[in-house]
Order: sequence, then structure tokens, then C-alpha cells
Amino acid sequence: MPKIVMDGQEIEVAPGTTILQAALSIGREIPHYCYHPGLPVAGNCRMCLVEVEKAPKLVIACYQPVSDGMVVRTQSDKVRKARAAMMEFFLIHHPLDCPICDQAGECRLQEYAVEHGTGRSRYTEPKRALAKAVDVGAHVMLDQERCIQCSRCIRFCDEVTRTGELGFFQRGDRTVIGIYPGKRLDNPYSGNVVDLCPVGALTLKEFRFETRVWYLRNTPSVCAACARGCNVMVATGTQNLLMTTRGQQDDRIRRVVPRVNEEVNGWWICDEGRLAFLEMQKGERLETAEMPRGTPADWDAAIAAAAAALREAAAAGRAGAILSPRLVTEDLYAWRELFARLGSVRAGVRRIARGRDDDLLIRGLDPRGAGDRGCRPRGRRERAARHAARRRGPALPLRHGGAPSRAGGEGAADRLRGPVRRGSGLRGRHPPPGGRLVRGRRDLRELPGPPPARPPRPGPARRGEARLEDRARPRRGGRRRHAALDRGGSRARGDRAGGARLRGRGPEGGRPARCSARGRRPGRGVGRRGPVSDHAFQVAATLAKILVVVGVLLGGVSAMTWVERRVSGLMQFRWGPNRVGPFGLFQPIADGLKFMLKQDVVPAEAHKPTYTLAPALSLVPALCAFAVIPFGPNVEVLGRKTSLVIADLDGGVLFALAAASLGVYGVVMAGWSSRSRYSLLGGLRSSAQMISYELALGLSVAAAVLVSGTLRPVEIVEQQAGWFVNWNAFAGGWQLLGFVVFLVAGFAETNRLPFDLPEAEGELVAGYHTEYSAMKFAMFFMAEYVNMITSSALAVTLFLGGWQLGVPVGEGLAGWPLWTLQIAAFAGKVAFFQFLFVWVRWTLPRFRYDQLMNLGWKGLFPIALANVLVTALLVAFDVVR
Amino acid sequence: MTLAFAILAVLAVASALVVITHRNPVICALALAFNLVAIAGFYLILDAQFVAMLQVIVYAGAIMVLILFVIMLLNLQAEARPRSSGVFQRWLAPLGTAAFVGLLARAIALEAPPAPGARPPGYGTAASVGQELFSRFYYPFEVVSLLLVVAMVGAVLLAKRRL
Repeated sequence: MPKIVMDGQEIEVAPGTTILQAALSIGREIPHYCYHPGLPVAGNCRMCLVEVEKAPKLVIACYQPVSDGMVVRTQSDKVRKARAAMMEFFLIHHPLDCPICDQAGECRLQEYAVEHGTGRSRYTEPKRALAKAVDVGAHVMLDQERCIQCSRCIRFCDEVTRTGELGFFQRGDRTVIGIYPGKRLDNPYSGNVVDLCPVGALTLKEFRFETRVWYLRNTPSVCAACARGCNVMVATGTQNLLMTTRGQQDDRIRRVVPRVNEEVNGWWICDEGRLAFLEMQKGERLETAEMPRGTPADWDAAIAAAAAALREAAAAGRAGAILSPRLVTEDLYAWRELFARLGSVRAGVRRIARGRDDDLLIRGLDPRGAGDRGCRPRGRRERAARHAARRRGPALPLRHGGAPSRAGGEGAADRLRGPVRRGSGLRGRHPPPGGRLVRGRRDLRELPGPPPARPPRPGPARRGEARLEDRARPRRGGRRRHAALDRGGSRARGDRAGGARLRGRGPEGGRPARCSARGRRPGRGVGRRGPVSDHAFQVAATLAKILVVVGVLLGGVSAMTWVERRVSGLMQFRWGPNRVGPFGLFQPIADGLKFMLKQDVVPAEAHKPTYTLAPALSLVPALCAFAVIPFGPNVEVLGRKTSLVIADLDGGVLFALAAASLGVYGVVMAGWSSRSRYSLLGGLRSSAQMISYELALGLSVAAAVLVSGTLRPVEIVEQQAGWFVNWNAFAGGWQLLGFVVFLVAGFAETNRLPFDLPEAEGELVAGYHTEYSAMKFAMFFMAEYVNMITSSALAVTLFLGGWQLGVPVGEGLAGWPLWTLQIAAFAGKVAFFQFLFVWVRWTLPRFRYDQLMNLGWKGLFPIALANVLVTALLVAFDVVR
Repeated sequence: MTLAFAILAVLAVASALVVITHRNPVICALALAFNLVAIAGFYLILDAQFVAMLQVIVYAGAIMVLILFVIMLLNLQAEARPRSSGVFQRWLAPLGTAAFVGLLARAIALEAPPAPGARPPGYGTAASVGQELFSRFYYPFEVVSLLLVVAMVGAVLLAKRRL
């Protein structure tokens, strides 16, 4: 149990508690807008900033978990200044329309402005004008100007109802909240966003301009609209002060809001329950007694007449009652008793038609009740039930079930209950004036005494409740919060693609293996037939190698998309992908599917041929460069020798450089053809960067080639056999410096951080691929990852012994086991560099453009040149090899 | 081999035509880069793999990227419009073309095609090119190096006059 000191007071809280929750537990409120206990933490309002000792900056209390010995100050000067500054920011564009705003009186902005604000603004420019009174849904109105972008409503629609109607549009100080095109905020829980909204941006149509909140009295109650029994707060009151002073009676229910009960309804209620009171107040109730044919009568006479009629009918055996299952237990009991004493047993509860359920709150909503409005029954059975209910008409001609109004109703109800009162020991229940709603299921269950004639099936309701709890728990859990932040914190260019970054081809397994088997079979088939088959074997082997290499490369790309995000998560104390499959391992598949199915948007202004060609031109050279890299030793397959390299070229090193140098065209063409400034700048930067660093890269390769005396990769690797000190980077060639230069230049050539200026998201949105989407966008990323793998493989080949194990191979080890080991060594070395790429990404900040050029031309280039000179001397005087 | 030559020839000529006829300088530059790669393909057919790779690295990979860079940086809009050619050019161009074609035809007619497959082992590799360069063509190579140094110094002098 961590102990922390908050404003001088030592408290002990459960591990994992956030500072804000810890403060709440001792009754100290830290001001906040975006935090809500029922929603994932977003941390975007910056109102809950507090000072933590030893932390360099103020931290957000809603996200920062407490740790033992933490010293928190919530009232220091620094914190107060931060709050005042935040309030000033919030109010920059906020209209000062409290006098006409429905939120006035319960507005967090109002409260905090008084409590934490400075009372003045330094902002003199015109405020932005946005849409007011936007009709966003059946019950909700939006005022965009009043929104402070806390994102609570967005998170509610995304995470609780999972309907996702709301979103932020535009960026920066142009950000507005709105509904997505073609959508309406019509989910059955839409009213909750109004409660969530800390300001007056979202208001309930049914409450807008009805009354001021300070005229309201709140009464805790339980909603009776369905079997859930949500805890609600019923607000009653007059419409305005004038009416109160005049003594006018206008005491009605004005609104119903949820009351927190984590075990039943959490923080929410459905719209049906929220607005059920409107039905009750329609004024359609029986308020005065009437004799048959509509002649008014006083209650005593009417009841006497009714009683006489009942007795008469009962004697004739024609009396019966069908009761609503929504009646209170006591009422049901009274009815049953009444008919029992009349000598009739025909008092039954109407069978409950299967109502509407969802997996959030609504349980068995009676299709004849309030829930009938505007909701579509889901199954065929429900539709049929509803239809049947409509045809039957009102099932209760006696109209009991609603509460009689206060005027004159009291005596009548008492009289009706009269006969059973003695026996049952139950007291009659009346709704208090304008206050408490009809009692719900929970009360029913708790009641002592005999069960109702036929209990209104509490079973499914209880099951539903359990389900709710199951769903509610993880929503508040830590993992969930991490996941939410993962999305928020992921790199912006990834966000373009919708939160997740990439693009893959499925797991590494199946495809390559299958292809290789298919590719090699012909070799065996013709192998027996003499010299012609040699050529056939070579062709088949080459094809097989190509398929394996391309398959492994693309598989490696999809694996890298996962590794990149997991390692990033590791370094930033968050989870990274964790939703799809174990540890998020299937995320690349999901990404791949998404990229294939997404709409491919081509800018209208784009130069289409080059725009379409660019992604391919980016990916193909990257794949080609790998052709000359030996990924294993010479192996014997089916009695024939073949080398594990696609093309054993004499000038293989040059080929790799040539292919890599062509990759820049894809980037430049993408940048130019998109007809976007961001893209063009990205393309420009890319070409300048590639040319600059190609020099250092080429020179470092030249030194390695000097040492090896050949441009043939297969030979270069063979020379580095034996102990790992024989590798070119070490005593084999004294090329450690060259290796470092190659590595740095390699980072620049692959556009990776800290050299990712061609797509610097802070300045260029996403650089050269800003205007790309779907599979074309994915191809750029595949190219980037293939380039990473290829350049690592080249570094391994030139400097780190390629597939050599780094230890002398013993006599006992030969054949397949050895080859497998050597291929694994190659893969392992390359994999290490992949990790290095991600590691460096989160270790070094991005270079500025002049820094990039300085490093390339004034740093790496002279160093590489000197390295070539020194290496040449070493070779000339036979120091190496 | 003949098929490869035919394909490469069509591509090379087509891209060369695009270079001189297209109005958009960026497309021209891209076509030129493509043309250079196609010519590298010719070198490959002739077994000159070292030259082919240098062609790609130096011309397509470096020089053309620089040219593209400059075109995009300057955003040459004026070049997009065709320039009106003068009277002399209009009359002299066909003459010059005819003369050039005549020369080419004469050269092809005079020179017998080289016998195929008569190449020594190791022909066209980096090693053999290096051997030639630093023995038979030593002086030309050094003269060209000097020329390049002079060009570089001159470029720096012009570009950074205030240095």
C-alpha cells in the first residue's frame, strides 16, 4: 500500500490509484473536466495538473498513479498559476452566455472560473463563431461554441455504447466537436452525454429552457421503465421564481438523471428511463370519478357503484382482472385478495411479453410501455409479441398501475385497499407528490411477506445485472486506460491510418514454406535426366529462393509492425497493441485487412500516373536490393550444390547500392505528384537527404570493399569465417568506424528517426505520403521496413560476418544442422538491428534540417573519407589480410 | 538476348522521346532517369555489369535525383510552356538531324558487328575494368580526374563567391 503525502497530509491508498482518485478519497477535489470515473482516461483537459516533488513538470492527476513516498501539492503557487492559465485558455473562445445557458448553476466552467480563474482575459482577437443549437440527435442539442473539448461525450459513444457518433473535427484551435457525416446521435443512451458534458455544449431537448437548476429539488429514486432498476435522481420543481412567489403550483418532474450505483447502472441510464416521466405527466390520468356514460360523481358514490357492479359480476361468475406485471407487489397482492374474497380466482398477471434487451442497461423493456416509442424490436419473436400486444389493445380496462393524482385520489385508493389491509399488514403506497416514481424491481425483491401472484420474472433481470457488472469492471481497469492512451500517444503518422499503424501481410509462417516446397519439386523431377536438368535445377532453386526471400521479407515487415509498436510501448510504459490476439500478435493481420478494405482516396489534383506508380517504385527497389545478400552458406539440396543467395553477382555490393539509390524516386514522385505542399517538401527533403548520406554510405562500403578485395558479397562473408574478431568491423578489417558511419547513414537512407525529416509529422503532417491511403499508403511503409531489413542485412554482410556464427565450427557439426544454425545467426543479427532501429527511435530526438546536413557533410563525409584513406594505407602495408 | 534488346530499345527510345516532347519538366526528368536505367540494361546485355551498376548509381541514383531536386525546388512554371523557336533553328534542325543520321549509318555500315561470345573470362567485372583503367587508360583516367577537380573547384568558386 503506497503512502503518499498530499498537501502535508499523509494518506495510504491502494496501488494503482491515481493522484486524482487519492485526492477524492480524502475528500479533496482536484479540478478536472475530461476525467470521469466511468470513462477511460484521456488526459486532455490539463485542468488537473498538480505538482509532484521531483517531477520536472506538473503532472496530470487523473492519469499519474501514486507511488510510495510521492509528495503531491495540489494548492501550490505553481499549480494555481497553471489552473488560472488553463481557465484563461478555456475561456478564449468560450461565449460568456451564462444568462441564457441551460448549464448555468451546474456548470463546471462557471464554477472553476470563479474558483481558479483570474477573472480577466488577455485575448483581444475576435472569438471564433461556430454553430449553435445543432440538432445532433433525438434528444440532444449541440452548441459548438460552448464546447471545451474535454472529449467525454466522444469517449462515451466510443467506449460505452460503442456507437461512435461523435468526434473531433479539424485540429488545433479550430477543433470542433460534431457528429460524423450521415450519423445521428440516436443511440438509446444518448442522454448521458448531456450529463457528462461539464459545460452547456450538449443539452437535452426535453430540458432545454424548461427551468433553472436552482429551482429543482432532487429526490433519489429507482427507475421503473424496465427490469434493470437503474438508480436515478428525480428533479422536481417549479418553472421559475415568479411562479413560486405567486404561490402557483407548478411542482412537476423536470428531469431524471442517473444516480451512481456501480452495481446496477454505473453512471448511466437509458433514454427511455430518462424520459419515462413525460408519459406520467401527460395529464391523461383518471383524476375524478365518473359514472358510466361520463357523468361525474363523487368518489364515494363511484366506488360504491363499482363495488356493487363487481359483486354482481362476481356472483354471476363474470368478474376477472388482468393486472400489469409492472404493478407493485402490494398492489398485486391486494388485487388477488380482493378477487379471492369476491369468490373469483380470475385475477392474473398479464404474461410478460419478451421485451427489448441490450447488453448495457436495458432489460426486458416492456414493448407496450414507455419503451415502445422509437425502438425497433430486434428479433422476430419480439416483433410478433409487440404486434400481438398492439392488437389486444389496453390490457387493463381498470386502469390501475399509474398513480392516482393527489386531488381526491387518496380516499379512493384507500378504499380499494381497504379489505386487504388488515390481513396483509402491508401499508398502501402512494407516490409522493410529483416525486418518487413507481417502485421498481429491486424493491420488489427485497419485500418481506408473500410473493406476488405470479412474480414478474426476476430471473433474466438478475442475470442481466451480473452481466453488467462483468462488463463494468474491466472498463475501469488499468489496462483499459493504457489502451486508451496507447491510441492517443501513438505516432501521428500512424494516427492518420486510424490509430493503428500498419499494414502487413499475415504471419510469417505458411506462405513462404509452401512456395519453397512447390518451387523445389521440379528440381527433383528432372534431376535424374542428365545435364539439361542442371539448368532446370538452377532456375527452380532461384525461383524458390526468390519466393522464400520475398515471403520472409514481407512476413518480417508485418512482424516489424508489431515489434515496433510493442517495443515503443515498452519504452513508454504502455502496452502497445494488445487487443487482437495474444499480446496483440494478430494486429498485423487486422492492419493488413484494413489496408486492403479501406477506401483508396486519390487527390483530384494529383498527377495520377506518377501518383500510382510511386508506391511501387518505393517498394520494388527495396525488395530487389536483397537479391545479392547471402543469407546462408552453400548448401546441398538433392545432391546439388546451391548458394543461399538469389543472385551471386560479382558486383553484388554495387547492385545493392544501385537498387537502394533508385528507391528515392518513389519518395520524390509521391511528393511531387500529390500536389500538396507537405508532400512536396517531404519529397524534396528526402532527395537531398538521400544524396547527402549516400556519399558517406558509399565511402564506408568502399573501405569495407578495400579490406575484402572484392565486390562479391558471398566472398566477403566467406572471408569473415572463424572467431567473431575476424569480422570486418573488428580485427578482420579494422572497420569499426566504417561500420558506425554505415549505420548512421543507413538510418538516414531509410528515413528512420532521428532522420525521418521527409515525413516529420510535427511539420509536414506525414511528409511525402500525406495524401496516400489504403494499400498505397501501406506500400510506403512496407518499403520503409523492407529497406530497414535490407540495410541491416547489408551491414551484417559487410561488417559483421554475414551468416558466420562468430565461433570456429567444429568437425562434428555439418550438413543441415550447421546450415540452419548459420541461417539463424544471420536472421538473429538482422533482427538485432531491427530492434536497434526502434530503440534509437525513442532515444534520439529528430534532427533539425541544418543539423542533418551538417552531420552528413561535415561529420560523416570527412570521417568516411579519412577512413578510406587509413584503410587503404592498412591494406597497402599488409596490416590487414 | 535479341528480345531483351528489342524491349530495352523500345523503352529507351520511348522515354527519350518523352524527355524532349513532354511539357512538364518533372516528367521529363523522370523519363530521363528511366532512359538512363534502360541504357544500363544495354550495358548488362553487353556483359559490362560494372558499368551498368555505375550507370544506375551515378546517373540515375545521384545526378538525376539532383536535377529533380532542383526542378522541384525552383518550381519551373515558365518551362511548362513551349518556347517559340527562331527561324534559323527551324531550318537548321532538320539539316543537323539528317547529318547525324548519315554519320550513324556510315559508322554502322563500316564497322563489322563484334563476334558474340568471344569475351575473356572476367570481362566487365570491377576487377577487369580496374586493371584496364589503371594500366592502359592510366593517363586518360588521371586527366579526367583532373578535369572533374577543376570543375568542382570552379563550381564552388562560382557558388560561394563571397566566401
